[in-house]
Amino acid sequence: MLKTRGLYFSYRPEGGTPFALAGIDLEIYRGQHTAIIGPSGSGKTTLLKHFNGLLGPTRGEVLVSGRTTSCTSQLPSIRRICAMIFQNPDNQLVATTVEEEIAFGLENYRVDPKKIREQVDWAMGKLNISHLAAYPPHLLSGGQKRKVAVASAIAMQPQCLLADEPSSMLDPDSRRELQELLRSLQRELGLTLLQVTHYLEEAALADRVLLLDRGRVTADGPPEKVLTDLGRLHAAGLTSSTAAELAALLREEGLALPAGIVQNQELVDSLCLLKPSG
Amino acid sequence: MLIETERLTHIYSPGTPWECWALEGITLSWKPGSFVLIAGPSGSGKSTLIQHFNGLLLPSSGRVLIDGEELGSDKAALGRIRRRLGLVFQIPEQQFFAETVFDEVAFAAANLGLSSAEVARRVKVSLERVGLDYEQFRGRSPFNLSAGQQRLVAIASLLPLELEALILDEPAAGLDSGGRRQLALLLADLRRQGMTVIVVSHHLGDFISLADQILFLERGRVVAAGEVEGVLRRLAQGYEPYLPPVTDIMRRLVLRGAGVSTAVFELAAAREEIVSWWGGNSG
Repeated sequence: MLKTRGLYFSYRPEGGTPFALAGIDLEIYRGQHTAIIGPSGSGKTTLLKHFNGLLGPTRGEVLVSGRTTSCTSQLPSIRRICAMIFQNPDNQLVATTVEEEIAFGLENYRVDPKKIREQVDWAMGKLNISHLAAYPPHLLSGGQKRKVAVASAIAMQPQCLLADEPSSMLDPDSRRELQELLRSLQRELGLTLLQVTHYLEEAALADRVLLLDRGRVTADGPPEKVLTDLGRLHAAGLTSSTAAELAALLREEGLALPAGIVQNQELVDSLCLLKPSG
Repeated sequence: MLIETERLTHIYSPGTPWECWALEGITLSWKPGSFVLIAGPSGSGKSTLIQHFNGLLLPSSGRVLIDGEELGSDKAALGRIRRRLGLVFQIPEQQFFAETVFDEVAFAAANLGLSSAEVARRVKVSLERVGLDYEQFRGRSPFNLSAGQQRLVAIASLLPLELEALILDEPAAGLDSGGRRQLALLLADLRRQGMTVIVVSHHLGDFISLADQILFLERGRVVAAGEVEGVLRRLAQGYEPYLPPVTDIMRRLVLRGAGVSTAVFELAAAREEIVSWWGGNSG
């Protein structure tokens, strides 16, 4: 679905700054939910922006369903395949009502108005925001704005969602709701979901986790592998999920916990199961 | 700095169809040198509340008192308060405008009418307090720093004012775990030097080990307020997603019948608590 070959990127190709992406060879499969983690400045957003052609490689190549992002005539179709949800929804809200906002992208692709109507209604239904159709987006709460941004993205009927920290600034309830929503859209529509996150508790829910450090992929695998490789995470300046960190401390104390614990409930279940009865 | 409110109520757009009661009858008193965490769902009134502490918003009814002095329409008094109490907004780096880190951090201090030597001294001290090397960072563009470094520069830009209180709205948003740790260290350091620190955060876990007090709001009213343990006990009943992750693990253990305390929010304390339960005979 998404592929990079020998991808290097520099914000100043004439030199002077190190590569923001320094040799990335990656394949993201259709329908997969991948979390990208890494310290600030490691290249997460830069990588994401390569998959819908907002940035182009300095060296190497990025392929989206076989189309190269280096060819500008391919960009319109690449952007219909890969929709982007930005860090701050205020940066992408442009219209005076929620339904106009969601229709905006489709109108730019000169989709038939009847079809636009259908897709906007469908997207609002999926996100449970039909009641907000006539509401001005700038008056919505942070969580509602995120939903509008997600609805605008899925109204384009993309195959892939690129989400840059979609839940930062949200309260824990809205964060969980958005996460569950993205997850169910991904399953139901067979979407490929690529998500940048700073909260490793969130990464624990993905199928696959990529760790970026200084522009390179330094770990790649299922969450129970990557998030329990504490040495590597700590070397990148990150701490893992609380459950993974605590499990490691308890193992040092001699508690025989199984490997691969990354979520709170997994830790609790293992502890209760394995506790020697007195 | 003593911060108090008495039956503080704030209504947006009163008398219109959009009328919104953002705060309803909030009474609180925070001693000088306190470290307070404010949490609560979106729309609970957190940002509205903190904007009353430096008079950006004025009460619809009730009072706000800083060191016993009521904030009102007296401009001179507001000016005096704003010189002593700094407010760091959400995503403060969006307000960057200068070409260099030095100019960014010097801006507020330069407006105080200090000599340029004194401004330079304060900028140097401020950058070092947030852990950024003066020589390395002074000439760099604030726009070309990592997110964590930008947040630190934004906070550093208030420090030359030699404030008595600092209020930060979601200071950890968008930071990686390393950046959040560094920020917690900075806030701990400011507090050690006697500053009153108030932090609005959805993630209690990031700063809980520093807090003396938590205020938890929902729809403009107080759900729980006071010392950390008591507030966490209250949040464990109906507000579980807000608990610090360590406390959540302990709560889940208790639900399974384990004999551990839920009043634990640091990894090391959780390890001890679990190890002693594991080795014991009960539960």
